[in-house]
Formats: sequence, structure tokens, C-alpha cells
Amino acid sequence: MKGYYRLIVLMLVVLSLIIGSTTSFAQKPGIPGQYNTLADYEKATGKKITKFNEAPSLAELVKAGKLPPVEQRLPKNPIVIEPTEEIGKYGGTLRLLRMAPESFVSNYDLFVERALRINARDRKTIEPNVIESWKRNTAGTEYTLKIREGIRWSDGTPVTTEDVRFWYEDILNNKDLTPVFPRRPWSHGGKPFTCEIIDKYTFKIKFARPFGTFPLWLSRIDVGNNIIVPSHALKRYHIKYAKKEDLERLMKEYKYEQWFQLFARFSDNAGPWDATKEVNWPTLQPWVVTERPSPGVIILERNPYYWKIDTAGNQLPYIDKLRIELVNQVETANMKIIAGELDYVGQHDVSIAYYPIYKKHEKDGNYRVLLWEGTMTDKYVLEVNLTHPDPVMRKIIQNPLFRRALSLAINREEINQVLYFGLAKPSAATVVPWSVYYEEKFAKAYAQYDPKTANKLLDSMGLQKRDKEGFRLRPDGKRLSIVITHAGTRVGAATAKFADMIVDYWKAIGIDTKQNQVDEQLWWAKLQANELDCWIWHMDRTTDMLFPIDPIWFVPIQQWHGHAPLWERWYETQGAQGEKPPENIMRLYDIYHKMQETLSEKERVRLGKMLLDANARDPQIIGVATDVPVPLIVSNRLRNVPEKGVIGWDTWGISLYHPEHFFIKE
Amino acid sequence: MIEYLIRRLLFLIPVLLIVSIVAYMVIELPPGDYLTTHIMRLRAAGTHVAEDEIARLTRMFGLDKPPHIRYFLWIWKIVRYGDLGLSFQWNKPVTEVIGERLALTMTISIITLLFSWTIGILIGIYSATHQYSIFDYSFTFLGFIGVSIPSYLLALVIMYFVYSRFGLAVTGLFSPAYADAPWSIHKVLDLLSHIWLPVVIIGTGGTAGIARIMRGTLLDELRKQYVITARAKGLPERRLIFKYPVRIAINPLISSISWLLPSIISGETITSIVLNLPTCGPVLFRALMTQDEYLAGSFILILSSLAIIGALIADLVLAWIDPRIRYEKMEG
Repeated sequence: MKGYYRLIVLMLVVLSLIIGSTTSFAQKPGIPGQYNTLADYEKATGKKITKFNEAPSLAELVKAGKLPPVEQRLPKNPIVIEPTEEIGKYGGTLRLLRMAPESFVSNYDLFVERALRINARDRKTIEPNVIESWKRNTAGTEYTLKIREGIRWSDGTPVTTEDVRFWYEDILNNKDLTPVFPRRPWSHGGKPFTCEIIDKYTFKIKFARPFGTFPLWLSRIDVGNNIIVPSHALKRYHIKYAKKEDLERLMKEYKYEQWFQLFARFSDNAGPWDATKEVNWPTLQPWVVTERPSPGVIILERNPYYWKIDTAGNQLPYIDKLRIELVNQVETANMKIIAGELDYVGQHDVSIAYYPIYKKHEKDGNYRVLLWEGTMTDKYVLEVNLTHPDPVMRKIIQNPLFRRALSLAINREEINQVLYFGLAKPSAATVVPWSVYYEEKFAKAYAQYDPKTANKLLDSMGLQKRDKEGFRLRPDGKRLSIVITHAGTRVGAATAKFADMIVDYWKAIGIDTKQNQVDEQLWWAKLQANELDCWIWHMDRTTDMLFPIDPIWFVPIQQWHGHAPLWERWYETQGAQGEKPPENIMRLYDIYHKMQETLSEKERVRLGKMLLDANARDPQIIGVATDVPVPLIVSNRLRNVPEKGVIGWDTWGISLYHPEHFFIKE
Repeated sequence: MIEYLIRRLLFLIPVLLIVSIVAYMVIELPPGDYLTTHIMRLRAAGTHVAEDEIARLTRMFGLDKPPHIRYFLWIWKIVRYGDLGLSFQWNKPVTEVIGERLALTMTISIITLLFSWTIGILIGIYSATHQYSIFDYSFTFLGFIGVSIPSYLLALVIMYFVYSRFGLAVTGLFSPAYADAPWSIHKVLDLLSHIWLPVVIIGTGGTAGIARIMRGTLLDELRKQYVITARAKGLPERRLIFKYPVRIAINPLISSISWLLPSIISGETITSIVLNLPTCGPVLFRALMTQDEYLAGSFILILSSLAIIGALIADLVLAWIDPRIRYEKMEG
């Protein structure tokens, strides 16, 4: 097996050298930026925007009197986008795919709009977006937020605080629509927040405790579904506002039994990926769903009231239409990619495992493969069940020496060569190197390949006895075995290959390891029933954009997402279910709560490093690499996409880089 | 005859009821429900669905009721209003999800049927009447290949071939220019220029099978005495073969109508997935995978009804075509 790997590694190194030499002429990476107001733009550049322009198709509508002129459609202060490469041209259709009928998971990042956003250049500064400005009181418990003045829904209705009030009073505080009040972040400090409307554009949000990370949370909240919702459209389906007979007629028409099911069809706030939304539903996004011409195809067209412009005063977006086609399986998607039938394929539908195929057909397919840094796709992490159902196994796994041994037994450089063509960087499970929370010792902790020490650690734990086949015996005389259960391609294209390598490494230190690939539903059911030894997931939430608010890998706070199902359940159900964790974990919860509360950035970094340090000493999860490349597929006609960037759950896909200013250059 | 028809149609009701119960049970058997799939998909995308959100979604999907109650509500609505329920994945009534794909699905299936039956029967007749000739051998050889290659594999091979020769991805049924356009004469022509590929791919296996069956049964018939007698009496060869042995040899093919009808709706699911065709097959497949219970259940219900109706049609056509069966029935 080892010789086989070496051969593959050698071949891959040669291959990557060939590939590398062809891409080294790429131009200097430009990254788009934004100015909050026209005045900000003038102050920063000394240039003035005096005239606004619009797409030809909209200009025609204005001429025909069907649409107000562009000056009246833009808010008082449109956001000014500084482009990646150049001022774009209007027009064209972006050809895209999606892999699930009900979901925009493949595409939402092209049009999601958040309450606040993150600066694409430094990847951590919080910037205004729909919320134009925010202020907190000195105690840090109250935030006064102001909606961008004059901003309009895509149907032309002005956005006001009525849209906030409706969300707070009639959705969040309606027992039918929200049976359980959402916890994070809305119950920060243990109690539901309260909302106070101040004037047409200003509102106040109050928490029981100081909440220093609230603006960062706001950068993760998509407007339209949360905080600011199109109340004028939603009232038609709400029992409090709609006439009873109208509501009953609609329920019959849409075949729902309860009014809240009907309402949820239009309001579903599970996220921006809901692809079942009504045609022409009011939104703040750059494109609006306007047509479903045939089964599986969805067309989005430009939002005439979009509220961002470029530095030449052109209203964005540049691209007229998005055409999203349902594709049933990965092979078909790859076929379409290499035949050049798609303009952009994002993080969810590409994998470094297919990199050689993409690269081989780059010229014929008339596209370019951009290698971005991934914070999710293909970035594998191993989770060993800290709350294992078998008491003997639990005792073994909870011993830090055991997890250190598991980590030391892994040859990360070999994984890097085999899975990532040598393009990633071996690392323990921690934040990315460019994070303010990063320290080199976190990345190096137990990350060297040292099976000898691993064996020694296991011997010292009392696992030195072995059976005839050379596998270690547990204190109760049974063979020490671990089954890695995973859902295969649902996690990443190379999951099985990754698991294969881990099986070999752990067998080499005397642990009888097997991998078991199961259907995602079975995997999920087993995880919920706490029946698993070890599983694989992809490691997101490791940047300054998400680690401070959602450090799930280092503190067991999210049920069924981490490495200690029973503790996570205990935390999420506030002690009603699951098991209370031991003191060392309770201490981590405490640090996490303080991180959320503190108003001092310095203090937060200190606390965050404490979490990471605890994990470095006693690895709760086992990571293998960082800076894992993601091969994005971008057609040669699509411009203004940065050559280099970061993409993953942390960035909300490509949304960090202002997709509304991408354009088609024929 | 009419009494017979009514009896057969009444027989439909208990069978469908049993089928629906079994289908529903099978859909409910795997761990989890549609919500599980939904949560997993969100999780794979990166988002976390917290306990509060799960509580909300369970209510929205109506999954807070136990399975047997859900089953009865579903059946009641079908019986009372003809309403097949709502598909969780598509957030649309089941009838709409199936309806919008039905026309294309049936077009492909029926063209495929005509293709494979015409070619299959003609080859079968030729092979039987020219047994052990060079063409018979080559048809037999091709037939065995056709029967043994799964159509999705054939699809992959052809896709690869077309891509490597012409740089085209053969997926879907329309050129990009017509895919979203409303129906017009040009769109129909465009469809016809694309449809041959799935038809040939899906039809190859069937054609080969039909040819083999036709050859076998016809060979049996050709050796019978009435054929020899007819030939001895100087009946023209063509008339002889088509009027008598062919009519009998076609019987086993007619009996297969009962399973042909369901395959018009869901035939060659895997091939459709590979070729990315906007037909019903992939929808059924996905419904079963995601436990979209009303969609999957309705599909199975429709397919079973078609199978039963198909059996009825097969019996009627057989009686019409084959006098022997007709007389038996009348006497019995």
C-alpha cells in the first residue's frame, strides 16, 4: 500500500508541476471593494459621481413610462462598488446549475444580501449593507440600527421599519409560526431580545446581556427572510391581516391545511437557498426569480430597484439574467463543465478530486479554473465521539493521550500529496493562518507524523496488550476498534479515499480501524442515536468571519455538528436532554459566552486563543490540512471574478466578492 | 363482456388500496423522514439547523403526526378530492410536479415503444424466416449485445463518444436556444433532432429483447403443420406468414402490455438521470431517495394502476387478436 501511494504521489507531483507552469502567468489579483455612500467615495478618491446610468432594457421601460427613472429607484445613498478589473458592460445570461430541486445551495451565494457584510480585502472588517449604520450603547446591550434610506423592494415598495416590526411581532412572536423562540443569536443572555421601532428607518434591538459580536452575527443574516421582510406581500398570508375567506381560498389553492404552512411557503426563513419561492417575490437581491419556463429550469432577472452602483454611476447588476438548470448528478455536471456549457460552477459542485479533468479540458471548454483557498469543500476533519455509548470506549476516547496518538499517527504530507496534489498545507485542526486568532503552535500541535510516539502514548494508557493479529486490546479484553462512518460524496468527492488512508494509519498503530460508507439518512439517524465511533465532515468556521461567533469545533455548542453529541444536546436543550459535560468542557462554554459578551476586540482575541489553545493541548477533533484549494470553474467570458480569493461557508460562498458586479465580456 | 370489464375494474380498488399501504410502509421503513434529508442538505451547505428550527419545520411539513395518521389523511384526500397531496421537495402539489413532466415523458416513451416494436418485430420475423443465414447470425449477435448492455452504460459510452468527437455534451432534449422558449414549430423540430439519442439508447435493450422473443415463438410456429399445409396448398409466402404464424407469435408480446404501461411513465429512470432528461423517472428516483412521501407514494399508486389497467388491456387485445382465446372465454 505504501509503495502504491509513493507512486501516486510521484505522478501527482509531476502532474501538478505541469499544471502549475501553465497558470503562473495569471494576472495580479484584484479584489473588489465598496464605499458606503457617495460622499465616502468622493472623500476617498476625490472623484465625483454626478450621473446614474442603467441597463438598456430598463431605460426602455422608463421611456415607456412603466418604471420610474433610475435616480428615483436608487436609495439616497447607493453603495459604490470598486470593481475587481474594470467597469463592466450590461447584458448577457449567466448559465448555472443546481443539484437539488428545492434548493439554491449551488447558487445562493451569487445573490444573497446580508444585513451587514464583510470587507473582501481584509476579510474581517464589518461593513454596512442593507443596514446603513449601527450604534451600540455603552453597556453593549442595545444596538440602534438604521435601514439604508430610500431603499426599495424589487417591486418598488419602500423598505421601512414596518418590515422589521412585522418580522418581530408577527413572525418571531407568533406561536404558530415560531413554536420555539430561536436561541442563537436572538436569545443571547438567556432571554428573547426585544425590538423597538424609533422612526421610519431606525430601530433598536435590546439584549439581556452585553453582546459584542452582534454586528458579526448581522453579517450572517440574510435580509428578505430575516430582520427585514417584505411585510406588504406577507400580510396577504397572515391570519392577523388577511381576510378569513381570502386565506381559506389561498389555502385551498396551494393545498395547505394550516394557515402557517401557507405563510411559510412565502416566508421560509430557513435560509437564502429556498428555490421554491414565488415568481417575482419582492427581494433586495440583485436578481429576482421571474420565470420557470420548463421543469427544473429557473430564470432570475435583474432587480430594477437594486441599490448598488459602480464607480462610473452604473446601476448594478451588469448581468441581465441567471439561468439555473437542475442537474441530477455530478458526472453530468462535469460533462457540462468540460463541454463549456456553464459560466460559473461554485464551491458546492466542484472538488479538488476532479481538478485533473477540469484542467485537461480548460481550453476546449473555454473556461478557466481558479484555485481559491477553501474553508469548507474537501477540507476534511475527523471527529471521534467524546460521548461514546460504550463506557470503556468513552473512557479511552476521553483520555487526551488517545486523541494525541490518533493525530500523530496521520501522515499529513502524504494526504496533502494524494488528495490535494500538494497544494494544501498540512495542519492540525485550528483557525486559518491569516486569522487574528492564529498561532503557529496551534497548527503544529500533534500534527507531525510520528507513529513511534503514538504507539508509546497508547502503551502508556494501558493499551499495550495485543491480540494474535497485532491489534491492541482494551482493558476489558476486547479488541480496540474504531469504525469511521461517513456519508461519502455528501461530505466531499474524496471522502472514501481520505477514510481509506486514515484506516491504514490507525491500523499501523494497532487500532483495528474500518470505514463504513452509508447513506446520509442512515448516517444522520445513527449520529442522532449516538451510535457512532468516528465520522468525517468538512471543517468550516475557521476564519475571523465565523470563528468568533460559531466556534463549534472547539466548543460543543451545536447539536449534531461536532464531536460530542450528548454534550451538544445538553447545551442546545439547556440541560433538558443529553449529558452534562465535565468541568473542562464547562470552562470552554464559559469562555465562549464571554467571547460573545465582551465589547473589547482584544479581549475577544485573548479568549478565542484560549479555546484554540485548549484544543491544541487536548485535540477534540483531528484536522489534516489548511489552505485547501477549491477549483472554481469560471467561463472565459465571465469577468471581474478575482483570480485569487477565499471561499467557503465562512465567506458565504462567492458573495464576499460582490457577484453583482461580475459581467459578461463577449 | 361488460360484466367481465366491470368485475376487472372493481378488482382495481382493493388491489390499489393494498399497494398504497405497502408502498407507504416501504417509504416509511428507512430511518428518518423528509426532514432528515432537508436538514442534511442544509448541514452539507454549512448551515446549522437548531432544535427550535427543527420544531418549526416539523410542524410546517406536517410531520408531527404519526405515519398511519398521515397515510389516512393522504388516502382520504385522494378519495374525497382527487388530491394527491403536496411534494415536500418541490413545495408544489404532486399533480403539478408529475403533470409538467408527463407530456415529454410520454413522448419519449411512446416513440421509443414504436421504435423498438417496429424494429424488433421486423428483425424477429426476418431472423425466423431466414434462420441460420448470415443476417440471422449478425442480428442474433447484435441482439445479445443489446440485451446485455444496460442502457445507462450505453448512454455513457455514447456521451463520451459524442463529446470526444464533437465536443458536445449530449444532455437534455433541446438546444439552449429553444430550451426556455414557448412551444413552436421550431421547438418541436428541435426536440425531434435531439430525441433520437435517448430513443435509441433506451430502445436498444427492448428492441433486442423483442426481436429474440419474436424469433423464438415464430420459429416454433413455422414448424407447425398448419403452416406446412398452407404452404403445400400454394398460399403466397408473405401472406401465409403474416396472416397466421406472426399473429400467434405476437401473443407473448401483447401480454407484456401490462408492464409496458407503467414504463411509459417511469421507464429507464437511470438513463434519464445520466442524460439529464426532464422526465418523470429522475423525479421518482429522487422522491424515493429523499422520502418525499406523498410524491413517492402517489407515483407508486399511479404506476400500479397503470400496471393493472395494462393487464386488462392486454387481455382484451389478446382476445381480439387471437380467436382461440376469445372462444375459450365465451365458452368458459
